[in-house]
Amino acid sequence: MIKRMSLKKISICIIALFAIFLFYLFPTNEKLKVNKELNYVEDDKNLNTIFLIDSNNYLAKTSIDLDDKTIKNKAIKLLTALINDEKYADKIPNGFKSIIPNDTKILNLEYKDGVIKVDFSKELMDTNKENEEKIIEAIVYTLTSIDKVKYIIIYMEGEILTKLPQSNINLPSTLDRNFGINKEYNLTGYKNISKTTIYYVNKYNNKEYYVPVTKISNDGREKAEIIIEELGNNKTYNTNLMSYLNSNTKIVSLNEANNQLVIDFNDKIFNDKDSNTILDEVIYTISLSILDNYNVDSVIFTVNDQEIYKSK
Amino acid sequence: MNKSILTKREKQVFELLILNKTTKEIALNLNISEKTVRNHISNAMQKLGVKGRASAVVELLRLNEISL
Repeated sequence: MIKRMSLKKISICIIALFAIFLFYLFPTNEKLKVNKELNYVEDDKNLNTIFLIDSNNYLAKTSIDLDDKTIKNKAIKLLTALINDEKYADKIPNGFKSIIPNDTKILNLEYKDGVIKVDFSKELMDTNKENEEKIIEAIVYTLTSIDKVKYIIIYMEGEILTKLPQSNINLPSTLDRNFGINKEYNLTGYKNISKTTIYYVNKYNNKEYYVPVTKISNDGREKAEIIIEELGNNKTYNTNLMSYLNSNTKIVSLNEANNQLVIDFNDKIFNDKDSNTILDEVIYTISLSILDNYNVDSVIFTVNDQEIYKSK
Repeated sequence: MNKSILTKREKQVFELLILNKTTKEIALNLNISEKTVRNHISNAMQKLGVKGRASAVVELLRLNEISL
């Protein structure tokens, strides 16, 4: 009887060991289930986005270390950096410079309910015709990078700025990212005109950064399709605007719900089919572009309906 | 007060043009004749110093006289 019980125990142990062996021999496809949440702002909570001029005269997305907690104080410091980069010379990355004339003063700044109202001295427009619009773009894109800030109203010497003096460009009294940045007009006709902001990647001193370009073109397709095609083909003749997206990447489906945009891609989005990884540059260029063109708080990438990445 | 390059009516015509409306549709929408629509477009092109509707639209978009 003891012998029978021992045999029984041994049999159970062998079966259990065999089951464990089988489990490790045939792994499940865990890799596709890994969710990576992506932070655009590095873990340092003091880093704030600022749009400065790069060496190719594009307004580029960079960051600056500021330790203010309130939206108002943060906005003032960011604008100060946009005005006079000497004051923050040690914080501004190499290769970038401010755009607003140096002797411009911030006369007043208020924040309420998502709207920043800022009054500048007249030196704001002491610049050449080509820079006027860039100044507005830098202010709008920088300040709307602050969490909760959606709209900007720019005053000059107490009056709302509604027209740029030399270029005669009209400004809506309330500005947001719909204004565009680094605008390029590629129009061959007047039908099916759309405006899409696409983020490219560039490098300075081996450090990568992102450059948004608002393209106005005759293309009536869904903006996500335009973004993927532009980044995949990288048709720009400017070699300072790069993209690493595989040109065979396609959107399988698009679903916007609950303030999120879920994009299902084909597997060409992976840079390595075996490890199912996506390059960070591909993630950032697509996500930043989507967030500027759709009214959503986050973007989710899926492949074969399995979540790969989710932006924060 | 900032003066616009275009009259209010000229702006309305171009705002409908970039919505892919035909001259006929614009005329119906604004309750004017097709000839008047064409006149507004010609006047705007002259003021902007351009030849062709597409060039006029590009200029007006650059100046933010009309928006998408």
